[in-house]
Amino acid sequence: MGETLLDDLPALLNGLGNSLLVSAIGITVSVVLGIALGAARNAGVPVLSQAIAVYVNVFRCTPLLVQIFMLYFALPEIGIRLSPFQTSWIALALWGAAYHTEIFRAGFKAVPPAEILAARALGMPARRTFLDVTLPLGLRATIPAATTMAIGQFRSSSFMVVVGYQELTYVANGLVSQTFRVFEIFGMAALMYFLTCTLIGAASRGFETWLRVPGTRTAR
Amino acid sequence: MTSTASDPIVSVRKLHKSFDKLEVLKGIDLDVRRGEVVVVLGPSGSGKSTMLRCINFLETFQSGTITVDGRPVGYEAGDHRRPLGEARNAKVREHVGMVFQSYNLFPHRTVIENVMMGPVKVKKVARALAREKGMALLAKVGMDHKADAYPGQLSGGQQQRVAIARSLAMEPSVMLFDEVTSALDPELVGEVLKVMRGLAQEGMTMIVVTHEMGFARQVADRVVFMDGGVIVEEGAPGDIMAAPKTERFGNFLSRNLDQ
Repeated sequence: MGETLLDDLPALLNGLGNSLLVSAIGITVSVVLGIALGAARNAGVPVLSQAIAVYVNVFRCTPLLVQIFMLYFALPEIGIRLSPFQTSWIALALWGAAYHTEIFRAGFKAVPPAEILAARALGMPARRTFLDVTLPLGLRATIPAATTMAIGQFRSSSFMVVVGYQELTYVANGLVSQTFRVFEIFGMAALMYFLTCTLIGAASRGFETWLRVPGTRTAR
Repeated sequence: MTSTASDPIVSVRKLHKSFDKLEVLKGIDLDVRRGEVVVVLGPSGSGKSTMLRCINFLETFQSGTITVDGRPVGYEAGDHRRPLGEARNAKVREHVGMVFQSYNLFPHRTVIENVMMGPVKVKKVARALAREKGMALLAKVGMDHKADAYPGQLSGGQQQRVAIARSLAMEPSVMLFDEVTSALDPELVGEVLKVMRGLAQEGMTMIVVTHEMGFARQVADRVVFMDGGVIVEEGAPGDIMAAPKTERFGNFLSRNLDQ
């Protein structure tokens, strides 16, 4: 750490890189899980559907911080030891997937029954209908909500400070305790979070525009 | 089993269907032969559309049997009435084309992609061949110039003609039309009816639920009048539409001709 903010920048950027790494893994896993679990819920697969509902409820109704503590401090008692890095992305993935499941379930549910009926009438079995009609239409409708959740997941990567993972907040906190330049360093960290989230939002809107179907008003 | 022109393509026997406690179909018997055009008339709520949806098993039914091209629909033939299961229902639906009141095109696919969807995804036809056949079908319904447009960019009449081409692409044994002109502006009705008239002339087997009396009179081989979940009267349009045998059909006709 140096005399000016400029000297601290490489360390902060390194922290930001770590935040992005666990977030990217956590978001990707949670979106894939969310689509699969949301589809199973939407289809009403017996037993599995109820199990998913329980999972969603558990992870939606307990604080992320408590979930992190469970993963990092409680699991070793039953012999499962996770590194700070593993804890970080797994926590983001499990917590996020609960929300993404509900987001995608809502998206699939919003697909007009008329289009699904047309696919069935053509002789497309249920799985084919899901892949070619429900999924592409449902995903388009869920981009804004899923993006909001992904931004939330990235911001929440700052919670991983509690397990000592060297993400942006951890690094900033360390620098502050050594230099006492609280305002500058936390301000810079906040700016980095802000700019990253803004970029994610802009990319999502670009993706939405790219997927826009000519002749429809909605963000397909 | 070899089929002849007189074999029924669609055979409905003692069909009963209820939504909860409301009995919508109260024992329907209907045979449709190859190349026959059957027009189903009746007031709303008479069960016409429900019967149509039972034929390709978009609706379950409580009792009775339906066969299409000799294949049982929905349930195993015989006494046990076991449901057929997803794959076999899908197989039956391949042979039954259906056109809906609200078109139901896939909004995220272009016109030609909509038409290719069935052959490519269900029948595993090569894309190039499916495209070639699809373009020919679009030409037939007068929509080949819009092949690369999206459904949202078309008028209702145009969308409905594409929907007809999409069903024809599966080369069905029978085509079901469920009030396909009811959602259209009056000036767009003609273009859709013209396509249907062309199909009838080519010998396509068709079951048409409609409120278009002119179409029934001119195109139907047989008119079926439904009311209250039963078939009240049926016969050649020249006979029964000119001289209805029942009061119910007579009243229905005079109400609809007044318009």
